[in-house]
Amino acid sequence: MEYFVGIDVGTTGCKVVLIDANGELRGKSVSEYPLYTPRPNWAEQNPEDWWQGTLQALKKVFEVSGVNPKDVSGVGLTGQMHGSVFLDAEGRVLRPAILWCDQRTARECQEITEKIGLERIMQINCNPVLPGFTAPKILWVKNNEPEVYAKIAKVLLPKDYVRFRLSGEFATDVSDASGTSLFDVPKRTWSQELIQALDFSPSWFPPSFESPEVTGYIRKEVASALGMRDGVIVVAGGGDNAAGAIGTGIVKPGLVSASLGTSGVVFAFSDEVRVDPKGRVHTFCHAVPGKWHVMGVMLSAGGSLRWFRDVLGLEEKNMALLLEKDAYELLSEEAEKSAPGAEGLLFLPYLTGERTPHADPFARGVFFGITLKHRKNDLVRAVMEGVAFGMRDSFEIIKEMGIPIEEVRAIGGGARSRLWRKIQAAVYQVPLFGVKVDEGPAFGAALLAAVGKGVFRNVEEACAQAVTVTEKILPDSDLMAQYERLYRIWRDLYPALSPFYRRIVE
Amino acid sequence: MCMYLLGTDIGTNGTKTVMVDEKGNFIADAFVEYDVITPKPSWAEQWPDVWLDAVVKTVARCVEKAKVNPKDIAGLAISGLYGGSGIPVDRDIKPLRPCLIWMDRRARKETQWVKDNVPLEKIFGITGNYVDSYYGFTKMMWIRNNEPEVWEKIYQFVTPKDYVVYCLTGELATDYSSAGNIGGVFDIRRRTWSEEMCEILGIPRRMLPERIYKSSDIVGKLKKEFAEKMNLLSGMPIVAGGIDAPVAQLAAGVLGPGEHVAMAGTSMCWGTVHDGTYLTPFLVSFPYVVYDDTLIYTFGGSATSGALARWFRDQFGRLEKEAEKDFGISAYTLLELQARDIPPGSEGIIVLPYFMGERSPIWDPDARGTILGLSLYHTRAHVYKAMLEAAAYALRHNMEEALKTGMKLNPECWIVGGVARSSFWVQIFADVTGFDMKRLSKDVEAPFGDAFLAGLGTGVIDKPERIKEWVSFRPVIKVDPERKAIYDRYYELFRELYESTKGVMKRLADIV
Repeated sequence: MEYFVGIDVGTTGCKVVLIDANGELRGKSVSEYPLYTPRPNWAEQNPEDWWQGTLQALKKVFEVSGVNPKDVSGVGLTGQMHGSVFLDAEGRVLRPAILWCDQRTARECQEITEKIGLERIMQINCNPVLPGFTAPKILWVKNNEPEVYAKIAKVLLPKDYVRFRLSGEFATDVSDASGTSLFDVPKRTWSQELIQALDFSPSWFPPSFESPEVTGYIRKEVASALGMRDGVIVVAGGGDNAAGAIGTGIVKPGLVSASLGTSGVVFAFSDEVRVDPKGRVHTFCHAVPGKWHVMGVMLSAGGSLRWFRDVLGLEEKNMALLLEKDAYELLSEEAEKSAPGAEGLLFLPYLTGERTPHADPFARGVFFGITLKHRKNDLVRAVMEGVAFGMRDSFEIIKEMGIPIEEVRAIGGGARSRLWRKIQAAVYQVPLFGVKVDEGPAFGAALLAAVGKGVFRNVEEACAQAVTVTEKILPDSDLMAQYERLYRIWRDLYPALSPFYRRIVE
Repeated sequence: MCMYLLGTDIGTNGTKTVMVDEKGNFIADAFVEYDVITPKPSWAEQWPDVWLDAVVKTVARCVEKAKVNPKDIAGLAISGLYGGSGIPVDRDIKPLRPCLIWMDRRARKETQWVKDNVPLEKIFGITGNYVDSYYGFTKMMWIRNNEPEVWEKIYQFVTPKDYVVYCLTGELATDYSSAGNIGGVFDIRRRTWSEEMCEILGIPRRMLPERIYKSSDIVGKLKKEFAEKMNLLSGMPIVAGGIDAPVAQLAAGVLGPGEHVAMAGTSMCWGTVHDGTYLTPFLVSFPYVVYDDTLIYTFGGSATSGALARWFRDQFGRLEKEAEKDFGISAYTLLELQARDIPPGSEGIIVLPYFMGERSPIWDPDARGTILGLSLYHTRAHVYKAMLEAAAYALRHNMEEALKTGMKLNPECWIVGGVARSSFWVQIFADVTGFDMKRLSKDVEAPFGDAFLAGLGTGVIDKPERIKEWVSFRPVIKVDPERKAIYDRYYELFRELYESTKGVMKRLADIV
């Protein structure tokens, strides 16, 4: 039997999954590493930690699965997007990698936008320049660390650094490269115009591949250290959202995924390049060759519930430890005791500012409509509903763009809550499905490896074989009507409150 | 020989009686609790016999505890909650339906009718007050519009404490503060019913009490049957009393212009007195309970104060409540200790305290609580502190409405009530409002004011100024100018936040 490995270089740790040639999950493992915040709003990691984490997770997955490493035929890579690894001419890391969630580059974003013009950027990259993206990070290094900037020979995305260590090759894939602000998304290639406009060197950026394409082979030393054989392919892989969508089967028109992790992502497949002229959602190349995707990102989805648990749900946290139960499950049970609409209590989930649709770093969380009658369980329910309303905003934009939404697959930690699934179905007003294997991007990356090896003819076939949808939730019509009324009110709160967010900071 | 005085306050959730000596020294007290009837959200009613029972029980128990000779008890005065509509009674003074008390907000349509049909200058010009479903006259109109079969039989509307006084003495009357608090139909300058307003509002003059006493006047003598139940001598004088808020204010020692006091318990009532020139439609005004013919009492009330801290503790302070049981330290203190080092403004969190709608000065039953500014950085303690700050913003809002009339307020505000037990919270009140806060040494409450009125009425006490000898203060809590400057900016946001969201609050209230 042949096996394939997917490696997800995430923000909190490296996750590895192992699948067989039928696309069945055979094992998984996680290895965590630290995130550094040397200043508020900064976020950095050591690329070496990623590499060590990858090796550990790989060793672990062979242990737990009992699969012989020699039977692995291919590796797929995925990981956090946008992060920037700076290498010198000898391939040495010049400074800690600056991550997607780092907010230091507001000034650089403005500088780039002014220099090139928003319209032109939207034409080429299809997305406005955001603080998390790669190009402003490079410019920040130029502006603030010229001695580092002078030595730059390569700029890599996180998973591509791991690729470099794994296979010795410099390469990237089109979906991940889309998030650099330097990529021509419609043409699916690096934009020499953007690179030159910013005085970057074209040689810094590795060649780009479609996601299932083979970019190289695992180096001998690495293979032997892991007990693997020679000639194991490494495929291009994808950014975490695109690869995640492969693992969820979002590879056909009409399919959309709604992921509630720390952040919330609404991910829609698109046959052609479609761009929101207001730049509220991202348009990136998909990990399906020749296809694109559109994506709305809310920053605090499951994160909102986690914040609630940590700050206001101390008892639930303690009980969860005691009962060895998931704290979210307990919160979810509490929320069940409240009524739909939480008795008129609304929550705005902007605890870390917001990306889609408001692109407002100053936005903050709000409970609105509280009365003395409200109990903690009403607040929990309001959080869950508020997050769903925030996701609905992305659905609205995607609909506006003319992208069909026929079936939504609920994934991520939030999808484990039955109540949250029910709320989502009624708020989005679409049938909501689960997927049998919800292992995130790593599973998609493993499938890409299998496609690269030729086990499946193409990505679509791999998904048809390996992705099984489970439980279908139809939106409850009463609930739907009720949420529609509340959503209309909820939606008007942000415009009423947005002037206050900035003034509070002052 | 020393004489003893009895004071009873009929509250919303309970009735309390105290006995003091003529110097105001505490002798004994007794308390009885009951529940408000709330048949629907925003409705609040009470059958008056609950009050009568509670008065009889607490007086009896108090006298029993005090172990003094009934001969030496000079008299009893009774104050009461603001009774809203009052109790509609028939010719035999039998209650026809429960009393719609102050908390009841059902008279929405009637309030709107007044806004649409009676010019503000007219109603405010005559009564010194505007309109809200809080006021008794709107509740009377509600009964007229919704319960015609009751309306037909109404002989008179009787306030809760006047009903009890009637039972005890057989005399049907009211006092100036109770009459004025009905609003709408009371001429605040002539201190009598306004025929013109009665006509406009469709409330027959005959349904309002004929006799209006001063709060310290003797209304009648205690009947034998009740004297026996309460271990008192029959014939003992019963003194008129008044609305509990000004009576409590009297108990705190307020006698003259400029003096102001915040009574901060579950809800907040802040008030002052003046010569009648400083009226505003945003606050409530009616005759005071001493110098009834010259002084006007003006007050503002926020619906939640201590209720905010309690709500937070009950929802999110279960650990602190447990610790309170084990270690005897109040859960509130434990929550405050965690919030001790959080800077003014709670690092960007603003709470609108309208967890029960709001009374003055925004008079908005649809107003709702809001917590704005949450981020991953903020902790539970931040939110708690912001709740305490919200109560202080609401107080400042009321004070500013009073100041807008040109009224002068002394640089120090007296503060009493459960909230005043926390010096941490009182400091916030000082820093937010800009008034130094002076706490009374003892928790004075309305019953002490009643006992004082009983003393005045029976001649045991010679003049209102004696009240100053009854009260003493703790050291002043001073305003910190730096924190005040920060709060000034937050307060501005607080005010605008409501203005920006009240439309959404209304829409939300309409669909829930």
